[in-house]
Amino acid sequence: MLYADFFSNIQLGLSTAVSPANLLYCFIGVFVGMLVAVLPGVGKLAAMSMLFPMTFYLGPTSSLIMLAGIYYGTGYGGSTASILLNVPGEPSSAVTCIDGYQMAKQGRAGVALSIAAIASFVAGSIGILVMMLFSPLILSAAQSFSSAEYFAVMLLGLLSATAITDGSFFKSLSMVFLGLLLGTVGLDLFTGLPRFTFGIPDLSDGVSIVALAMGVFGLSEIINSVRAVAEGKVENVTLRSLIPTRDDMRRSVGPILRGSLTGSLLGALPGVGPAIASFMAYALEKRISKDPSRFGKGAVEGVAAPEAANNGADQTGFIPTMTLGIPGNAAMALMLGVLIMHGITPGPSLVTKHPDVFWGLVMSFWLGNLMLLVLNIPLVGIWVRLLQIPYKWLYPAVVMFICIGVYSVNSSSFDVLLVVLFGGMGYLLKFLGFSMAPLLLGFVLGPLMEEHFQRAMIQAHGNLLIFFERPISGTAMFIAIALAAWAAYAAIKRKPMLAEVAA
Amino acid sequence: MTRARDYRDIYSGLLLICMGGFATIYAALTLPLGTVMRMGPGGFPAILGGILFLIGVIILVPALRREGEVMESLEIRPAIAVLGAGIVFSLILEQVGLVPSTFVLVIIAASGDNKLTIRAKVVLGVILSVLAFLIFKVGLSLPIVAVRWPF
Repeated sequence: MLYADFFSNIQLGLSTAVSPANLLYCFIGVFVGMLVAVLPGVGKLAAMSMLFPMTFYLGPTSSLIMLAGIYYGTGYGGSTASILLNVPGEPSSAVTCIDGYQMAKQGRAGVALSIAAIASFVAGSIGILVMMLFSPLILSAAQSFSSAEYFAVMLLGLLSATAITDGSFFKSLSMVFLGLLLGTVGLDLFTGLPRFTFGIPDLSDGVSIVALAMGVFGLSEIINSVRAVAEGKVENVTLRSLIPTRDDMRRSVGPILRGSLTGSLLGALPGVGPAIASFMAYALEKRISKDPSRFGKGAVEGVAAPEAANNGADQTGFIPTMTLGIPGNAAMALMLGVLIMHGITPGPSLVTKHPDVFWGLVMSFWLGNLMLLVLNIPLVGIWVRLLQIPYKWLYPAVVMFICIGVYSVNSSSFDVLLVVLFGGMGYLLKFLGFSMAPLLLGFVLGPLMEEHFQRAMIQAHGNLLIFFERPISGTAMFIAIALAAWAAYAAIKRKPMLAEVAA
Repeated sequence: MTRARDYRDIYSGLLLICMGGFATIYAALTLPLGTVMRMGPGGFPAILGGILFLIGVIILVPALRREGEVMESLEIRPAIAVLGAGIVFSLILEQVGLVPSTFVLVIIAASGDNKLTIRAKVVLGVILSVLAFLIFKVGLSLPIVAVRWPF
């Protein structure tokens, strides 16, 4: 019975996704995603928060389709900078540098680019299939969720996103709590008392997620990059050089399929995400290869596998976000922000109450991936040229878009000051080695968690054991506590948790 | 005795202790805390502040007895230019309108490094203020005056 409405849902999704407006926003999304991944010093989170103000003018479906397009669009574009410049356009393409840049040095940049695009497309398609098949399963399990389960599963999501990090566990954890704290600013839901507003009326609605995201991911990144971004010189890539040889194709089939599966499975877990998936896929290919010594010297498998994995993970990362309302990373937290802004409560009820939003988004992934494939390969000359735009011309424009964009949300000059405040704060914190993604996760999940906690407490008459007595929430709490204990132990011993993966 | 300590983590710990301590004290002074079962509006923030304080101590204490790398210096000039551009923009936007304030914003922001000549900054400022006008005023019809004479 799980899949009773499967085909009618697909039909509904398709008809939503191919409406002219949604096609346009899908195109804008993937185009901007491709663009920022290629442009130096502008990340996907900065781009998503820069287009966030536009979502106030759009319906929830169009907004999600556009922001999602940016998210997976960067998966395609990120490889371009990795291969041509040896500089990862996005962290998830870092491992592609190893063999991709070697291929470029051997004059095979075109082949590397087209294999990366094909791998991304195949993996994206597999990721979407996984999402379509698994989401109904998760939804049926979530029917029985009460506030206790929600609280426990959100806690698990937060902690795993924090534990699996490249920086210090305690620093990431502290950012979660700072995010939670920022989420409490504004009028209290139950009593209407102002919390942390310091008598400023603009703060009574709380801190705007746009100002926070643009500050910590936009302005603070710019400050860091103004003097750091090097100007690259790259050879032009001709269309003819894009055609892979028969040998390249034969070598790539296995890595693409294995990378897609690795990515799709890992991507659905909160906190794992595309960057780790691409490392895992690379390590796997190296391990099972008959001749591992080819890796690092321009092996096409070393481009195909990680590029497949990061795109598969990009797509399945939407599963926990859309079905349970639990974002696995900061970009997904922004997606939830869009829903909340449009008055839609994230969680299992999203799919039942708004099937057009969910299935429209899923079906737009197909279209977006197709558009990216078409954008990516024939237009490679344009992307190569964009790669060389000097940052000194680019960053004042980004500052402008951030400041006007945040103003446009509420026509509020105060929000511009908030962006500046968060930009400075974000720069300082990053300078001290804190990462900003957990901050946004905590900020978005905080109010939801507080509400579920209070509701669960009222239902259980203040008995904290309720979180451990129910099977699903008990399991989630147990895993969360075990994970936190392990991460804290590793942090005190000062062992990086990801050392084995990267090796 | 003069070995470099892990100043990055020392400052990090101190910062968290200050923020957490402030949040807890502020919440306790201005809001009812409530009980675990019926938590008041100040309860949740006070707990969060306490946890921040605690993590700050966990980061600070071992860092005091550990050698660290030399910290690179802060990017002061880019920070002042980028943040200053935003502050000035927010102060003058509603007084002089979108186009002039965008121009001023771009000039200040572009001063974050010395790679652009003054003429280049002016050109960039003109191009971007026209672009801002076209996108936000013509395209998205933002309710803001394009140019206002304050005098």
